[in-house]
Amino acid sequence: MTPFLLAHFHAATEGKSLAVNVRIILRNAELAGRIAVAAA
Amino acid sequence: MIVTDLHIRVGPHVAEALRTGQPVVALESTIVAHGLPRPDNLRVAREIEQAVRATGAVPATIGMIEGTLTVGLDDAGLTRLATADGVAKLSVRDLAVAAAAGADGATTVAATSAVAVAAGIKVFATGGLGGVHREAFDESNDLITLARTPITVVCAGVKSILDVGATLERLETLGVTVVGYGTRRFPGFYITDAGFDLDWSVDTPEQVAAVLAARREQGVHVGGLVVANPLPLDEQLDPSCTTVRSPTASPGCAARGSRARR
Repeated sequence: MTPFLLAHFHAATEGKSLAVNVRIILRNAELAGRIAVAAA
Repeated sequence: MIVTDLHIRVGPHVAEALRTGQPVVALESTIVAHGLPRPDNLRVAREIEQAVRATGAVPATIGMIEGTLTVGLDDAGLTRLATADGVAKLSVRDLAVAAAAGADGATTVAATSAVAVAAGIKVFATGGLGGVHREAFDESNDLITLARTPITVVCAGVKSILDVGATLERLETLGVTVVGYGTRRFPGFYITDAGFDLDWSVDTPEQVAAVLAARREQGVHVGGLVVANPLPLDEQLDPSCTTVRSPTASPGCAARGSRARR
């Protein structure tokens, strides 16, 4: 994802996309952690 | 003459975890350096690491500091990539030349995957994968790197402004395994369902671990495993919002269904 497009999304959705972006990565970090624990 | 450690530097916590077989999760630094605006980016980078720690795993954010490729950046390193100007965006092909130049750099999904595997890390969390663009020919290096890199990458699919169908076809051609997490529909990053079916789904981390164990025992498949983890429906951005689908074309809403679905 280019910084240009991300900036566009953030502006076009009045910052909602930023919050959702953060939410996505936090959810994925949590799931990856649980997978790593299960696979260890 | 720039004096640089040309080896991959592994942070002490990560090195200890890898030595003793504790779970480790690789994290990319592009989201920190280029993906999020300041000053949120540094706070979020720390929150991402904390989200990994809360599960009992050790986070290993990967990036380059003054030419030293580092697995498990410390807080000073994270801060530097979040706040310095001129941080390079590093794909796999850039790693060596950036090291020789003594650059600061943030690693893409492709580079983070490749470096993680080189360091012995098997699981990686990111936001979304790169993919195939809709118009001028442009395909992210993420796809072919995943074809030859045995990483498990947890992501929310690819952004639906990309050509999701073509991206999934390329992943098939390249032999990258794709499973939905709790779904048989491929997510479109901001949206829960980008409009394409998946052949396989898993419902628990233990099922993913079973896939990894089978792969290891079989010793046949060498590519990556994409675990596509969609946002819950009530958290997605409004799919009818054209700006989510295309930054340039206002008829994006009307176009939905013609190109995004088969």
